[in-house]
Amino acid sequence: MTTQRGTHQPATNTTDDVPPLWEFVSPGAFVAPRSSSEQIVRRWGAIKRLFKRDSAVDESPFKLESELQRLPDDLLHRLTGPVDWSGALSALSESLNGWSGSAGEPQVVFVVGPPWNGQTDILRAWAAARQVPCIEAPGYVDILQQNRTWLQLPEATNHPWVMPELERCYLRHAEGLDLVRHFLEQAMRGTYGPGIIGCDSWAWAYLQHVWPAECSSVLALQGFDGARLTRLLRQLSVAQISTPYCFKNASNGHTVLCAEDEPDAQVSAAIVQLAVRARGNVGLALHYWRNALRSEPESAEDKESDANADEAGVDNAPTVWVAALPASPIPPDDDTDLIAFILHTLLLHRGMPEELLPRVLPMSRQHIMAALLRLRRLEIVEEHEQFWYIAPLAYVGASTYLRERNYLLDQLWG
Amino acid sequence: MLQLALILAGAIVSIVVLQKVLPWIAAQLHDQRRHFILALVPLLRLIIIVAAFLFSVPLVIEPSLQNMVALFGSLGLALGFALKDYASSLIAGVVATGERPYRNGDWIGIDGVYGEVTHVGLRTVQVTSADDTLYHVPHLKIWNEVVANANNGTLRLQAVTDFYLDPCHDGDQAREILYDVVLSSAYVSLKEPVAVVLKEEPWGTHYRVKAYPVDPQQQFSFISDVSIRGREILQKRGFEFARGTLASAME
Repeated sequence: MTTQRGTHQPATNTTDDVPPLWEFVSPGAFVAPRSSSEQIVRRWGAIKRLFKRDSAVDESPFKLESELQRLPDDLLHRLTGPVDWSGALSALSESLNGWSGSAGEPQVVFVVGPPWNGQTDILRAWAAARQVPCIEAPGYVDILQQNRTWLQLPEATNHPWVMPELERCYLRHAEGLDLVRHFLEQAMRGTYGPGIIGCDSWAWAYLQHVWPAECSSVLALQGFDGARLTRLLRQLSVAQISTPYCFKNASNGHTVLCAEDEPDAQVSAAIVQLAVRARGNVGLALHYWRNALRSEPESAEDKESDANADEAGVDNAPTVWVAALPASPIPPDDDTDLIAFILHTLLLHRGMPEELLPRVLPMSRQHIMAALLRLRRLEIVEEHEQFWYIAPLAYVGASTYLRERNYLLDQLWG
Repeated sequence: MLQLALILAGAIVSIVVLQKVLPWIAAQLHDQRRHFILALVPLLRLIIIVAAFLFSVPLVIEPSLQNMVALFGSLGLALGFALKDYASSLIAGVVATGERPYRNGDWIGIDGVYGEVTHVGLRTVQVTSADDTLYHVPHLKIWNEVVANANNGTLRLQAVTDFYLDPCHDGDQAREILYDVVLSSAYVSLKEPVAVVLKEEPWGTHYRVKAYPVDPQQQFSFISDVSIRGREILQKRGFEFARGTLASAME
């Protein structure tokens, strides 16, 4: 196994020079993309231009965003369609290569990742591909009643089991920690045999205080920098569509991504910026990417040129415009701490049913609901069937808000 | 002599009238002007007293150089005694700037006052208590009073929650429960340690739950939250609270 801290060897499933697209590393080796010096220089230039009124530089955007429209759902789905996790499964298998949970080895391997990063899907797919049991989390009633019958899992075998959502096994409540503590104790003791446990990185940060045993075998999906993101977006853009689309920056007309680029083509600044904004979180980057894609209102002439695009080559490839990344909504200031409590709770549990929030927060249901509705209006939280969670595009703003207020953050925030 | 009596009488009457009329006018107002007029009373009274003094002096003492030197010398001596604490506070303010026993945002206990430092002035430090009362504490207190600083320029402020239980109980279980109560509080800073300590008393067991809120300003809400939830779950698990006093324990 290659997961021991400090001894990890990256899984290499590509050529020598190009880093693998999917790679699992220890959290200490996780690298969140940061602003490059080039970007800082560009920002400084923007500030200087702000004070230089007689600048001769033409600042008008290449394409006015008001003249562009969102991509039709069908085309958007085909250009950014569901991620093929097979590469991630191979990388995970390679990271686990040689590990069997035998004596002297850790019984449990944890796979930790931030929200929307896909570790739950990866683990479910991995379990399905290996045909190993996938353990579902207990219900919230069982958690609060500390129903230990859930702990009586199938007998230990030599085959690993998978628990994809550890964050669903606890509640930040005085009676909501007992079950997960016992589960982790039994799992790390080896009662259930070798197992792989997936956990949201925010919940992981909290659970390390609940169950402070040292976990030496922890894996995290390596952050997606500009190069990795370019490769992934290019793969997605050709996976379900035969026409080679070209993605161009709406503000300056520069090419962001072309389906027919060479694999080692230069990474565009827009994608580097996207990787930085998403902090290396591939799922978050895809949310931003899907949100930024635009097209021009199609005319008859355009349709004809689209039809001939395959024959004409990349120069005449249909264009998808990439709008500026939307700013992450900033949560409002609040004297009562309720906004911070709600955001933190939703992140620590990766969302929560409405009826449980008053049980874990020291405020009345009326105050909590008023705050939730306010946050939903600001597009900071979303609701689906009375289950509330942080909106993907608000994740960066919410995390920054909590960091500024000294709350516990996940370790992969960077 | 008659002039002196008239000056004194005029001053006294003016002060009495001032102290009756201005508060009456202020009572008719209900906004910020009310406080402004009330604040004028001591200022105008001081002006009347000084004016009466200045008019009286030439009537009593011949304004020769010798007499003036003696008068102002005495006055200076009296002022010196009167203002020594003021000067001491100013010097202590300079020392406080260097030694920093308190800074803005610190929660301090000084001279029986506990609250957050909201302003460090030249002569006084302003402390706002949890009940939103503003105290002006002269800096000279640092010469011979104990200054208790709960967070000392940081966000680390320990809040202690007390529980009093009947002595017949499972202490380990009580500690585990109280530990989880703190760990699950939305207010607790998980970057800091949590401790549950206890001490046997004649009337029961005194538990002290020590932890740090995320922000020092949350300390009272944090203690309330831990108290409410701790009491609820302890009762639910069958723990009895210490009800008696030392006297009843003796009985």
